Amino acid sequence: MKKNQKKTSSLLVSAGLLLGSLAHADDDYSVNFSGYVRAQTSIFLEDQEETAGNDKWDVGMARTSLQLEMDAQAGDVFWKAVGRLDKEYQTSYLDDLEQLTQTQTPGGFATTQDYLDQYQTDSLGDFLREFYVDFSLNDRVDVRLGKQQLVWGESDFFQALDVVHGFDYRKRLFFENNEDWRKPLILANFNVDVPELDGNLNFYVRPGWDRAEDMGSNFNIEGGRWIPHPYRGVDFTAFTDYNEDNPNGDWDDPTFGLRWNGTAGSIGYSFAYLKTFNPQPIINPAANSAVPGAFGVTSMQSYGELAKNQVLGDWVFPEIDVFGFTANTYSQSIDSTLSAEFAFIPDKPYNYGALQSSLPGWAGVKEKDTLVTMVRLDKELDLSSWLGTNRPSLTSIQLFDTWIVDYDENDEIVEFASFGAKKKEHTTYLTFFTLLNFNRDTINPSLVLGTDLSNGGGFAIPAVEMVFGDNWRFKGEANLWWTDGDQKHVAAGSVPGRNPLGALENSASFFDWFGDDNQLTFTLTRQF
Amino acid sequence: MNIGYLKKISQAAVLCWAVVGAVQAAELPAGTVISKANFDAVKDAQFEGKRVGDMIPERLEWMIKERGLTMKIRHSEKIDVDPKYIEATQQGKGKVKFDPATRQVSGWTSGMFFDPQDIDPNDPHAGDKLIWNLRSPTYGATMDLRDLSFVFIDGEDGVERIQRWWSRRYYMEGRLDGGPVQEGDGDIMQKTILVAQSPQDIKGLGTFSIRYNDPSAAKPDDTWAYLKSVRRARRLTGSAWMDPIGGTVQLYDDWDIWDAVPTKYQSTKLVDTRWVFAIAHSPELSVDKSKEGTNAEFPSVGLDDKPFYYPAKHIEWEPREVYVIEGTPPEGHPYSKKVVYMEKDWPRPYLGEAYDQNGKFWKFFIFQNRPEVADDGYKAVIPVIGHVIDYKANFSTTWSANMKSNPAGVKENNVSLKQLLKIAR
Repeated sequence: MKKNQKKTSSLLVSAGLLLGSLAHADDDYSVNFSGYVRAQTSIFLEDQEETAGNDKWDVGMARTSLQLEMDAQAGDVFWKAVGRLDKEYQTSYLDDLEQLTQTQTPGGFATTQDYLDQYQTDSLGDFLREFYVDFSLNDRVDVRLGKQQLVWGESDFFQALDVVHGFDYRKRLFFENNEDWRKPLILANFNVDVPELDGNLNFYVRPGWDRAEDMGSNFNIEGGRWIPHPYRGVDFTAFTDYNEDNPNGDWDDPTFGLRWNGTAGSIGYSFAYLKTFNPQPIINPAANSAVPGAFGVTSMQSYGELAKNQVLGDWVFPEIDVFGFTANTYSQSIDSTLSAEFAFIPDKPYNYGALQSSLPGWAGVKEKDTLVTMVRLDKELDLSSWLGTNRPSLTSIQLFDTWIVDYDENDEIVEFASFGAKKKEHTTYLTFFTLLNFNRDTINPSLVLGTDLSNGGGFAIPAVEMVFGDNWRFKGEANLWWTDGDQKHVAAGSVPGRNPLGALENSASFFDWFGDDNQLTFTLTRQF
Repeated sequence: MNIGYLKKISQAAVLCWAVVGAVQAAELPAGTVISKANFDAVKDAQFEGKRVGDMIPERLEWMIKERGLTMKIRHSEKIDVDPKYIEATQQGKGKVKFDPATRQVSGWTSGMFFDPQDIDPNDPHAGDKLIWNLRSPTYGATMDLRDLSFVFIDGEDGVERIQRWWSRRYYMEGRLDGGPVQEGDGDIMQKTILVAQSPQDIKGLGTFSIRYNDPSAAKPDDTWAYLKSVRRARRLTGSAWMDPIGGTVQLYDDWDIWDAVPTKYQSTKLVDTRWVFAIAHSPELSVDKSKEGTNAEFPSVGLDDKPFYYPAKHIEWEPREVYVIEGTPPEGHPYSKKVVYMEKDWPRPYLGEAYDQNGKFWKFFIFQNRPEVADDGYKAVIPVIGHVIDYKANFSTTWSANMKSNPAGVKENNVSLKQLLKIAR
């Protein structure tokens, strides 16, 4: 990985030198800087059972961010750099979690490093989120080289074809811009115009030069603020590791994708193929270790190789193939926009088995053909005469389904290792949002609702964003969750004696993981 | 009765009338500033042989007398539109057909659809024909709105905020730039990209839209929005043409005061041919980027003087002969009526009025225009500043742009969804 960091540094230095030379070589040069300073805080509306005290009304997060963006035009070449510096204040709630990790799962990331490193910017690589150059090879071919974000697909909230990158879910606010959580990667991205066929061909290669930190999605397994309940204060890095070199998921392997994006009449459509990494990490259990057995796991199968972490195992982001199709059109008869997305993933890996243990999913990995389907209807509702909005309100309803095609209930597949609810043949989420605009878009309330039709539970996010002149923005939102009562709870007893892996259960599904996380969040931004 | 006394009174009256008449006939000097203070004194004066008050429509008079508008007047100046445009109009005569039953046209290729000289004011479809002419704009085959800025202006407090955008519209038909008159297979009328550049929270937000060449206007626009926050394009509703542009008080349909083809409207009607004061020679620089962050960035907008949203006091208004056309928008449109004051000899809107669904006066449009010689020598006439004033809210979004007609090197594929995704960063 150090080798890759060196490559990255060399790339960035070279790019900087090239920018400098172009700046002097070409009179058609401009450079603009913009960005923001942002303060964010969250306040819990409920107590959480992992901690000893009452967390209701406690501050869960207190963060300041500085984002700097540079746009530089040098002749026909365009350079973009985006840097972000995040600093957090360690709230008393985080103190409690840190204390818990030190007591019940010492030795992991959260105790051996500065506890706030999981949330803060602590290296140049963290700071430099994007740095790329745009140029054209000819009239048809545009090229973007460097660290960037590339998004395919149509779906809101969930990932189907938007799987080029992982997401950092450790510091999320829920209705935040997902460009802020996405983890940019070093890509060579080509776009070829084919006007004769009313479309363009997009092709990218990720050469495998990225830092380890930039790979995969982070689910805060350090036991921090956004690891699912009941694992707050349980640092899984004390007994598991991310494995960068598993034969089924070697982060140095180049990955790539190809997409045809076109229009046929008034229908927009795309076909895509991606060789990428599974968005969620999969546990490769420590098959030769007795430790999982001590937690009730009776049988384990390695995945790709024997796990390097011989306590509980390795987290792996396996390489997958994704075949995708999207379509969108406007229907005049219902005055609505219709969108659809399909992603077929042959042999998508899932953890399975050991449902009655403290480590559900630790039996190993099964590969299942999976079809992800999204259909959505967007409508601009004119609520101006009713509510006084200043323009029609974008309103959307979306169905997002994951179908395990060759499903067998006896496979005992789980959604995520550590939770024992059997994944169903279909996991279907229904979401809805509406955005309202008042007073010339200076007061903008919104409402997001979502529910899991297969397993129960859901979320509601009422929010309001306010615009003050050119520079100041304020956003307040509530993140509200409901469950069907199948939450996984902490084990009996008290720390340090209690089992950190929680009480046995086999019914906690996705929204149950966040059952005690109702909170208010406030964001104040000064942009420039 | 003392008849001699009456005779004297009569003589005095005649003398007095003659004096008043002489005042009425007096020509106002160019440079006169018409304001609330002198309106009653100058309204009966003459300018270029026409009564001043007759060149100020009722709403403008109200704005002068009640809402602080001032107008510095100048002599009118002949504007030459490109000879190719006039020639194409002449060549199209007899080929362009208007169907009164459907209000649709056929057979048009370039130039104006209908020579305004040939339009009979008594023709019940004169309004339709003149609005069809707007589809063949005077600003060339391609239009860049460089440094496009929407200044949000409160009539009491001044500038609230400024949004900076960039836009390009590419016509696929009626092109007179030396290349093919029509590009593509004739399905598309025009394509437009609009991209936000600042402030930071909207930077990278953009739209790409296609308006189809459908004389019935039944085929909706195709529109995509690129949302930088999610880094992808999202299909928008096809009825967005009558929605506000973002949080502005301007509708997409107010793009050039009147953007829709006649068949989008329930009806249009030519209601008058008259002279009005209008701004036809706005200064060349509308947005001075070297003065960004100060009112001087927008030298042609009166940001220093309450109510802050009118043309700057030095901007000169000149007599122009216009057609006055009224339109009744379709159901669902925010307006119940729109009125446009459009240059008589070619389709260039100067002023406009919009009325709410209760028929009450709502918005007034003052567009500043100027002649422009394009990179390729094309003689265009272009709008460069649009004062869109919401009088119910005493608020305006006034846009200004350093417009460029027929920018060199721009091709059809420079205005595409792919291009939007490339530049919205």
